[in-house]
Amino acid sequence: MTESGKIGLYTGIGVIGGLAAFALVGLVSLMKEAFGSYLLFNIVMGACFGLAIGAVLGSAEGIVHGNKKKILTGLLYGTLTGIAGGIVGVFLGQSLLMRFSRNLGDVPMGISALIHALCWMIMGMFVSLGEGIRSRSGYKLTYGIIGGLTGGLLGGFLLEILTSRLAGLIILGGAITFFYALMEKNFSRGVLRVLNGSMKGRKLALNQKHLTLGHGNRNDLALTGYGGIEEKCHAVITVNSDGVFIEPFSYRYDLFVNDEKTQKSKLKYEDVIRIGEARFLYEVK
Amino acid sequence: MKNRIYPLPILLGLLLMNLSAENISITGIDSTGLLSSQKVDLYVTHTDDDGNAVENSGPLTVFESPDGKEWNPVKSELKIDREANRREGIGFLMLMDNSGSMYDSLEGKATDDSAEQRMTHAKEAMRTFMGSIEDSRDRVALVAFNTDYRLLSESTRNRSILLEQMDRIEKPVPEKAYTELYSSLERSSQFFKDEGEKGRKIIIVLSDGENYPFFQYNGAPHPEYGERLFTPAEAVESLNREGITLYAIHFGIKQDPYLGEIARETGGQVFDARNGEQLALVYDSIRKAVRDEYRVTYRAGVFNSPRVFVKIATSAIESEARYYYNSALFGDSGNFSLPILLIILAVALGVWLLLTKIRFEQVNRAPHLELIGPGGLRKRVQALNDDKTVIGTSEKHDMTIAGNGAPSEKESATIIYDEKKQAFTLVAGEGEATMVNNREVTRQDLHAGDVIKVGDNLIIFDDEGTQVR
Repeated sequence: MTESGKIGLYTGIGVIGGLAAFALVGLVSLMKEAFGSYLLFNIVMGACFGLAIGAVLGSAEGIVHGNKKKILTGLLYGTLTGIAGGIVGVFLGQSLLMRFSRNLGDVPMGISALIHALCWMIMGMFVSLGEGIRSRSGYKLTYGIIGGLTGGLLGGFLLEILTSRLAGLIILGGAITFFYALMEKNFSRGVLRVLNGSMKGRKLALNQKHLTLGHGNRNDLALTGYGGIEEKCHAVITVNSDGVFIEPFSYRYDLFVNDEKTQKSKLKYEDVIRIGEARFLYEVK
Repeated sequence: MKNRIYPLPILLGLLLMNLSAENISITGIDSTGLLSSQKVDLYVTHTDDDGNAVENSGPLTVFESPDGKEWNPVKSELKIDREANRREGIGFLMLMDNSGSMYDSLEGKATDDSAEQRMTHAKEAMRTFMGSIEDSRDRVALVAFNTDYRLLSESTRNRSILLEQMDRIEKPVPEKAYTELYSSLERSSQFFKDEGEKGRKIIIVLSDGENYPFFQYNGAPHPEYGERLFTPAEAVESLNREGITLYAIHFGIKQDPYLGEIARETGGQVFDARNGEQLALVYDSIRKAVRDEYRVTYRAGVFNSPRVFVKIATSAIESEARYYYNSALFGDSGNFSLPILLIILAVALGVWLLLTKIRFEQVNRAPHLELIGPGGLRKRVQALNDDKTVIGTSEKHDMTIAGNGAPSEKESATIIYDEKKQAFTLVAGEGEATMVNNREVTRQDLHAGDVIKVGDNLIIFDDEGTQVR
């Protein structure tokens, strides 16, 4: 899958999230008067919005990779962090709104929309943290923060300008996932491209400090369909300020870089890695 | 139809009856606790036939309504605090007109004698007022406005600071002598929030003329507000959103046509004062009225409307309706019915589920070469159908590499298929080195996933039958 295809798919997934968020938030709104408290109502509204966007964003990487386990764990983490993020976001957003919007009166539409967009920006940021937390990746957290802030600001602004919550939330969802994917594309420390076999063409962005490669589904790159690869973890890629390194998880496991067996290698672009039957190319994004 | 003419004593009697009937009104609403605790504070004035505060109002009922039409009584218990304003003190913001006309005489004539000027009288009345707050917990802040809005003193109980700051008010130059009344009201509505003040919030504006904005009458954009013209409606909304009650005092012959209405819309009143003594009396009566208010705290309902109307009633009379705002991030819900929302949700879930089933990465299982240009920009796939496939720079070669990063030799490498062994072998061309997996080779058996480098171009070899063992 090409990089632009991936961004497109992420955006589409975000749009679905926006659609689901719209439906959930609408359902809650129908029951607003039964809540008895604006606090509770806002909590549930924020949670619903976060749930929808967080869940789809969490599942996005699994969908791209066709990895069911990753879809499910991503969904779980995305849902949990999305709910939490939605609640925190709605509180911060609401206080910002109360702080700044009370004297909006008849100010130009653009400024009012901008203030609201700032609130959505906060919401966007919080609901985009799921994948970063799931993978315990500082890089992914950063993409979530920046992608969520940018997408939230842009989507939120359009949401207010359009005055249609349906169109607005769809754009908001799409914008958050679009910017997330864009960040991931542009700021990761290169990718591993699978060169052969059933997963050929798949790319793994090196955007967390530690990535595991192995046969089992718990790995960041789960290499199903290849022989000679350890179940739990075969090799580990470490990304730090000194560079990108690869090493076998155990000294007993075979790892080749440019057809040479190695215990630890600093990767440079165009290096060819071999683990069992699988081969990878380390390349620039 | 003729106008009915009453003898003077009857007319006076009717007027008095009208003026002095028992009255209950909501003079202030504080909804800042709405989001955190669902509580709303109403400040209520209840006066008897003589205009004095009623000590015991008897049983009270608060009504709420999302539209001002259908009213529901609040079922939760009302907490009534008759001493709230005395105990906690009142926050006053004194908004003083410092336009050019404030330096005319009380009769509206130009004068250089400061003793005759309105401003001198106004300052004297303010001194009296400040003297009266000394023994209370009330706080006073001072703002002077003309073309500019100038905060002279933040909220304080220190009389000498206030007086010192008040004495800094000076006659403005013509450029600064405009009366930015509405913009100053709008701006002052943010004062208490910026100061973090809680409790009862009152703005008393003293003005001797009409709203006379700089931009409208000078033509040049206002240094701060530019070409924006403020309206009375904006002032009302801002003050109401902040739960501030405005009391307005006309001090002079000219009056702003909307100032009184703005004050009443916020639960306040409008007064006329012709001289310093009257002004001091007005200040005193405003403060007394606010101190006599009592606070009714209740648990508010939740409504699907941006404004919630509220009124209060004794067993005999009820107040006029007021309103507060409940601004929410999510805004209005729109007009989508339950079935439509459920359908949208089902569609979203269905599409998502479909995406999880689709394989986004297609695998080419036949033997082939995949060219990745410099920077990963170009991409071409060359099927390996023949016994011999030549990679080179010319069009006649099986796989042509041209342009940036193309190899210098015409024939860079040849891939030969051995049918017996069912294997592919790379034979390097002469000249520039050919690499396989970053190692220079002259001849090399190829395995799926091997990376051939020709010039700056990477070519990936793949064949399902040649998996690495």
